[in-house]
Amino acid sequence: MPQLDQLTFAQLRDWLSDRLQLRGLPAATINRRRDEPAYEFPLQTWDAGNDAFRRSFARAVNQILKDCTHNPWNPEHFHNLAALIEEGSIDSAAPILTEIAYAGTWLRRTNGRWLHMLVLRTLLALGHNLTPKFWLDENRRLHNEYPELIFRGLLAHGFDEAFPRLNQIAQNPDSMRRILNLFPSLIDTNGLDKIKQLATDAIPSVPDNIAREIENWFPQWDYGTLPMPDAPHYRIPDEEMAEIINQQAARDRGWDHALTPTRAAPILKQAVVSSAA
Amino acid sequence: MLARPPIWLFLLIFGFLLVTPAPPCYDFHMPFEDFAQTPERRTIVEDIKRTTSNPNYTLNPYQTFDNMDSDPQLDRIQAHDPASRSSLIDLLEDKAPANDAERLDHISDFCHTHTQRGEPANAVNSATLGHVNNIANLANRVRAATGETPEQARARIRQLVRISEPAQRLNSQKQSLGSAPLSPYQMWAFQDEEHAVPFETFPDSREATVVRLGLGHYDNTGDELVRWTHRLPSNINPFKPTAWDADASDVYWRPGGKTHPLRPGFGDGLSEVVHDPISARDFVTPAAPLEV
Repeated sequence: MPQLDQLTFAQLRDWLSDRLQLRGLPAATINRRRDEPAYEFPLQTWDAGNDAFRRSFARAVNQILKDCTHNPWNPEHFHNLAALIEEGSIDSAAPILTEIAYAGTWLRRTNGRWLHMLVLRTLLALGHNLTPKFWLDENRRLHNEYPELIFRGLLAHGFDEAFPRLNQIAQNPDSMRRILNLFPSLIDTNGLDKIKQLATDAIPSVPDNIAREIENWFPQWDYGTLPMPDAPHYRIPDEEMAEIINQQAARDRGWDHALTPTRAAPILKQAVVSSAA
Repeated sequence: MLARPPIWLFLLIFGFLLVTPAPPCYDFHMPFEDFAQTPERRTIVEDIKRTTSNPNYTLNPYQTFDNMDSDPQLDRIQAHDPASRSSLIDLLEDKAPANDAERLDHISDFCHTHTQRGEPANAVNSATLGHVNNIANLANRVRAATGETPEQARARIRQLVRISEPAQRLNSQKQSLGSAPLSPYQMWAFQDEEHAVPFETFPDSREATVVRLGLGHYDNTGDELVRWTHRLPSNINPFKPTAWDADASDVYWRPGGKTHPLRPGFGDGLSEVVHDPISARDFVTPAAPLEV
């Protein structure tokens, strides 16, 4: 393995590019038995390097990123580059990442959404929190494939921006499960009670299948059950309330079956109007 | 008419067959020196020995070279095969590395290029295998396709391996870790032929596991380790490891198809194999932490 600080800029750039793509001699010294990540040694060298070396190293990383703009790598390999930038906090890469993110050209390529997610993840790690609207727009561009990243982007603006929007980003149980993967870390940082309360408060606003996913997750992962929603905070959703009234009305009239939702709707609407009057 | 041979001749032949040991499985051992037929090639062999030496491994600084030189699994590979010892000498003759660092890169790259060349371990295909891994590397692996930070992925795995109810732990791990390969490289695993569950005779202790399985790269490090058992899917085949699988720097490995305990008093070696990476969907028992 060469001494990285002895290499010319072009040699360093090529060595780094090959190493992160697990190619040739630069990848030869990765300790595969230990599952060593490809970026581990370059990261250690970056951390320990003097100013001159770090300038050259950052320049090499940025050059590789620019080269990627037109010819993106395999996502597994791009993850190595992204992880190096994230864990090394190589801030100078942010403008290039921003350019790639806003252009959105990778989205049209094979594995485009995966690559685009890695770009956004790296930007977020560098402290570019952007705006809640940006993250919601990106959720649409990513076809809701990476809801955990969108939730992280919203969390960067506070719990109040993230939890109430669960109903927008958790569109099915699978996407909710991906968001719940972030919860152990949130619990470590903020305490179990706080996260349970935030989850409990969010439940009334999400569809039943998502609510069930949240409720089941806590005991399944050994965090105990969620507290029952407090009465003053809990509001039965309108559709659910309408169905309860409908069933009760059927029983009061001695009918075998309640009205179908289509037939019940105008009657219930009238009942609500009368009640309001 | 020929005379009938005397009875003592039969006894002599029978006695000779009885005391002669059976031939070894591989009756031609071709160490490096057999391919070093010129002074230049002999120098290359000496270079390999020096380059792969590790003075910190006081038991035998030349352990890696000795592994490559004596591994019976490599004896099976014919001289003209690109994975043979002879081909490594050819490669270094061709590349003529300028220094030991470059030479080591070439040797390591040769090893990585020729993995899984040992005998197929067909008996292991349906066996339950044991494996030890590192939480930080697993986290890095699983987050390659997620929007998590390294800390978030590590916290997820730490919680997943500590779920108290084993069946729930297994289900949650399969669901949360999914079908992503758990390593970018080939994996090592072992089988305990005398017990259906590979870790049955192991304590939960990190040290006992690391030492018994000969995992020198985890000995006295701060890595958080987990262990699990898995069964190979039908599209993945196990092989007996060779010195190329063990790489140019692993002084803790020994040829012969068994794990090599780092220190005496931690049990015997167990059959080991290498195979392509598996996913959490192949777990038989869930990942559990090795306690420090």
